[in-house]
Amino acid sequence: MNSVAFREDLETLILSCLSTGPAHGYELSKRIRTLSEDVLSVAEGKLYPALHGLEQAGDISAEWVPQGTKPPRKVYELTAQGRMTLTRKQAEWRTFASSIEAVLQPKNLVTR
Amino acid sequence: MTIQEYTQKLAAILSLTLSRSDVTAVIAETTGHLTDRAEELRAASHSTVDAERLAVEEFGEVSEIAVAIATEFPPRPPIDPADVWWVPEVLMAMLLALATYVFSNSVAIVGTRQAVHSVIALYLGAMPMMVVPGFFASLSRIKYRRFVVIAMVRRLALYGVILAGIGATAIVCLMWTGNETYETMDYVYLGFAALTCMGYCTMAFLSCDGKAQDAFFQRFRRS
Repeated sequence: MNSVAFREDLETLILSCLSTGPAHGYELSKRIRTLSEDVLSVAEGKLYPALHGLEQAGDISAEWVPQGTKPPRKVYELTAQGRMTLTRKQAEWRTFASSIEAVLQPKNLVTR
Repeated sequence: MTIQEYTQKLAAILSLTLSRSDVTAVIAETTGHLTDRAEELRAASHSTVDAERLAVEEFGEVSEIAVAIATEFPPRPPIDPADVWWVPEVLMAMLLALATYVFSNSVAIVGTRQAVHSVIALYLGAMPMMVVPGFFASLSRIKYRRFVVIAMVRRLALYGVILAGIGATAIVCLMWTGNETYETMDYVYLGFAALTCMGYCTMAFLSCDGKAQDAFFQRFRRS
């Protein structure tokens, strides 16, 4: 399993996971694992600073939701601004991935 | 380390910079996460002790996580004493009124020279009372400086040092013009004024996030 090392990548993953619906921190870390088919893992403690950062930036909003007999949990939701940020980051990521792909393809290698 | 020990350590570090409500929210969120993870591990046939230890280990080293979280909660700037309402002025008036009442019961204020002398004694006796709370407020952590009360006592201290300066100047003028005999009490009053000013300067030096100290030491190094 690969751990997500960069903060910006983690933020993109969080925004993407939240686009499927609101979730609390623990659920989000599980969602990242499940959606990546156990390839990616998030250092759990690092998830919360990233969530707080996104909340401060206005990309996500948070609300304390009662959980029956359990203590309330802070549930995060994507905002309209967050959706736009996600679209932008997805486009950036695709450009980056296709550039890497182009470099890695042997047919694109120029021989002199 | 158990979940409780972990969250207690985290709270202790975070409370150095974060407000109490922020610390409570972060700890509630962390506890919820760790409890869920420990439950999941218990369901996967780990013992309770092992499940908590693993959950905490997966979460990360407590000081590292605390620093990462604290970075996302930058301390709000302290309130400038100049921006608070007129409460310090009212407090100062009340303090001086009280001092006048106490003083007038013990000393008869008659005659021009004696009146000036008495007022000086009154001012200089009362001023440390105005400066001392501000002095202690300046020693508080930066996170408390956004409390209005702290800003008010600091502004009160400013009035204290101004009035002490006026009193000391009056005594020196009386001595200079020969209208005042060199009594022991005059030196005590001047000592009071000097202490008040020193207290205020110390307060001003300490009551910031290190910028004044940096500027002072840079100037010192340059010279």
